[in-house]
Amino acid sequence: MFRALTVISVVAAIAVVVKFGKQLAGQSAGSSVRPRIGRYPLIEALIAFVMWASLLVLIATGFLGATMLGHALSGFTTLIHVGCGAVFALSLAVLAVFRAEAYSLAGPDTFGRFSLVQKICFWVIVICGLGLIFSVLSAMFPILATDGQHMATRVHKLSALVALVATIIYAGTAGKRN
Amino acid sequence: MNRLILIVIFLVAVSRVSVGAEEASKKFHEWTGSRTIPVHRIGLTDENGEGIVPQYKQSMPYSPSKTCGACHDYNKIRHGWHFNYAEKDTLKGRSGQPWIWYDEVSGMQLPVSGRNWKNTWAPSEAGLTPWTFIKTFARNLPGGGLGESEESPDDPAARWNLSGKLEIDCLACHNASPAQNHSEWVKQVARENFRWAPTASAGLGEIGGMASRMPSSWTVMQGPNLDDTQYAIAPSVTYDTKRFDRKKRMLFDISGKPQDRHCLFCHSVAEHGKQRKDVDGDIHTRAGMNCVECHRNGVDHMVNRGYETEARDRKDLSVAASSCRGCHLGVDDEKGVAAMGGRLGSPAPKHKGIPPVHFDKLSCTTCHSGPWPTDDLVRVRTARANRIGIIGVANWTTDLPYIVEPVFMKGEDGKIAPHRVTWPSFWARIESDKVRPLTPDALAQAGTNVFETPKSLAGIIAAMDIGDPTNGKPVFVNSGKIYSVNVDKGLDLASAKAAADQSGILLCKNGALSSLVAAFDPAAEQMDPNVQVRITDLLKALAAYKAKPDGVPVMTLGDKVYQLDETATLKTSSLKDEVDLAKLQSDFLKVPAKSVAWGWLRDKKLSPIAPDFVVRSVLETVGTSYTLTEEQVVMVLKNLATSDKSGKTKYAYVCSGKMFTVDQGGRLSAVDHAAAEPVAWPLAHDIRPAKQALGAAKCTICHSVKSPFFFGKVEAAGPMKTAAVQSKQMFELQGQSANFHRLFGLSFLVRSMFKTVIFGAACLIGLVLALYALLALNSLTKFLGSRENK
Repeated sequence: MFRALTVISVVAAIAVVVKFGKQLAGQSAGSSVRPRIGRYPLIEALIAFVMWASLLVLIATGFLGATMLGHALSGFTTLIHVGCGAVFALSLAVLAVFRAEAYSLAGPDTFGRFSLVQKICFWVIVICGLGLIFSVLSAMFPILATDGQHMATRVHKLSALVALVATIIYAGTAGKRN
Repeated sequence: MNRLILIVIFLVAVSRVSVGAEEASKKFHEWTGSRTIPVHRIGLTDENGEGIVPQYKQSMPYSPSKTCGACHDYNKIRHGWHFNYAEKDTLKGRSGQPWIWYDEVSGMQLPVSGRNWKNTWAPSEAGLTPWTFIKTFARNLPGGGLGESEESPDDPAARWNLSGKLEIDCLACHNASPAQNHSEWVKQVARENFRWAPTASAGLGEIGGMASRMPSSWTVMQGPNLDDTQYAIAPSVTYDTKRFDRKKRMLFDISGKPQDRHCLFCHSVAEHGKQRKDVDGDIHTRAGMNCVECHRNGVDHMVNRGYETEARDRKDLSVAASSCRGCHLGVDDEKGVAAMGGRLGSPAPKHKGIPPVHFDKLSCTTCHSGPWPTDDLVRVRTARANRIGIIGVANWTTDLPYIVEPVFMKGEDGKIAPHRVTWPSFWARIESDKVRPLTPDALAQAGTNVFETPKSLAGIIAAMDIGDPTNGKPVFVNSGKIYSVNVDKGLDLASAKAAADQSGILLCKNGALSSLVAAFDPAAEQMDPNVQVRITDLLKALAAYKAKPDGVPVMTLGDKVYQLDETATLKTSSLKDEVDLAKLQSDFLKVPAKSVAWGWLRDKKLSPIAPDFVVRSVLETVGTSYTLTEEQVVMVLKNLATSDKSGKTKYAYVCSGKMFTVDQGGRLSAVDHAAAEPVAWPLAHDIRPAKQALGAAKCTICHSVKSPFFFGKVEAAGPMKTAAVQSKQMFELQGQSANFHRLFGLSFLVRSMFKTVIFGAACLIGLVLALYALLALNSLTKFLGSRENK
């Protein structure tokens, strides 16, 4: 079921990006006047890179087994996934602090880089990140019984799927602005 | 016309048979619903269907098939799990403990099963006939199965006509009387008193005589053996007449649900060397449950074994409710709920904090059953393999077969489960790469004077035990060790130690060692008469020893040799005159000049009292669980090869997970072979309390770099003392990656930090989201406020 849902969601997200990429990238939030596109401080750019890179690894390790191989995470893939998970959580938290203002839906960002769709995607990823972290964290303490553990796993999977779709749309619209 | 008559007769006959069968099936009533046990005040019936008159001296033993079978469907029962092991295409089920054909003399421990379990041998492949199978294993069988075999030309050694059939002993399980004595059953089986065994074990009467001692022409109808009242006494029964009423009926104390003690007679497992007071037992039995609460059965006596996939194997979904999961959690199937959880008041486990992947990959028993895993596997003795629980004058219990637990390995259902493991040991003939086990009888010739070295040495020591004025006992001393003769005519290793210069056969009294002969001066012209008599008596005793080698017994002291002449008079001569000193064997050179030594003289060659190889094997094996040395194995393999006239057959000894053969250089070489692979069966009991489950306290019990669960060593052992043994680690048996589990184990060192980091990250993200949520709320209130102003 989840396998089919993943495939459909990913295909749909890619189709949307291909078909409406430019329109989505062009819609700026808050103001029709596009500010000048600037550069981030190096440290912030580095954190962003780490966050996106770890997210890609998480997607690859998490969804590869579930969609392509048809079984849950196991072996070294799990170790890589868990290790990158910590990096992703930390970098996402730091980035959320650094860029909350830039991705604010209320007005144009400081550097004028992000469309409304990208901003929405960012906040979707942040919210899903919270779901991902809590679903893992709660499973690591003797809090949840087996049914709760299964529920946590489902929350983790669905959060990951939504974050994946958001990532695809975000990536698909990046660099397509006129 | 004739054809028509024949058809009519045939149809009438068929209808009569079918009516008869219907009547027979009607005889056994369905359960009415009453939960009481009917009072069993019944008369006894013998195997011929005749009512037993207990006062009659020539009474036959009672027959369970005729007595119990009058009301209970014996024919249905005989296909139950305990009895159907030899039926063609019988239910295989999950591997269980096989029968282990153990022969201490030849070092054989061969796993045998009629259910085609992995790494076991079918009785016929192992060389067991129905008769020898029953003779070997019926001590732990409740009768039935092969016990109800008949005389067959394929089995000329069988003596069914004398022994009678070993019928299913219903009372072995269903007798609630404390008089039910399984050890008595074992004794009667050993005496080939098969038809008398149920009567004896239930304590209904006293059994005398032994069918095993009767000539093969004897039958039970002949009654007592009038020719021999001392040895070959015919089996007979004397009933306890006080237990019968005037109608020749007796009251049976029957329990519909067998008591645990009956199950445990054959299903006990004990940690080697553990005290009874230290055994907690199974948590279910401590809670008041009986074995049969879970291991229950219907009239068909197909006992639920309780493993998870049993329902699938038996195509009976109701069986699933008796597994751990079925009882505690319930079982669902495609049609709905097959069994509700919480059966018999069982608590539903919450397994808080345990990732569900554990339930996919592990059986319940992995965490909840067996001994707590440590660096060393626990050596256990089981009732069926090591004969524990048989009480009598003789010591039935054996150290071998060597069985260890808990070996965490992948089971037949693909889940990791704790197993008991043993390694087969047997002599084999290899023809066209096919391995065929040799029976102990087939080794009799090749093993003569090679096997049983402790008994051989004990025989010499016992021969020299002619009484001593100081009440000392002869012992064998070598390399600081003292060996004494035990009641089984073998050797025991004494806890006391000898001095380095003490050697040979000496007298031992209260741990103090002295020479068999009082000290005397060999150079003196006149020998002390007492010493002379003593030496003469000892040499006479050795000369009379049945298993003595060629040659005459002699005693040496310094450069003198003492022996008996033709008139049995002591003769003293010079060592150099009697013995070719160049051929003097090493053991004599070790004996100090002032010490007495004993040996055998033949053609001027002086041999030690026991062959060197006997001494070597005694030193290596006595006091250990080993019974063979590599040297003995080489000797037997060479003897087997010599006896093979074709020269095409290869011989091997399988032991400790390896196959041993003699190479061209005459040395023993070991190779891996499928026939040497261990036989394993899952263990389920004893079940520990939930608080003692693996992982209940912390994950690092298993997930650590050196955890016994993944990295415990599983090292084979067997009757032969050798360094070439199969050694594996648990992860290999589980099909797991060692590097992954080492790394995963290491990850638990930083797990607390990991939790802290992601918890901190979650808090930060939560705060940011909360902040913007508040800002959004602020904007919303402003917006709504501005609308009101407008």
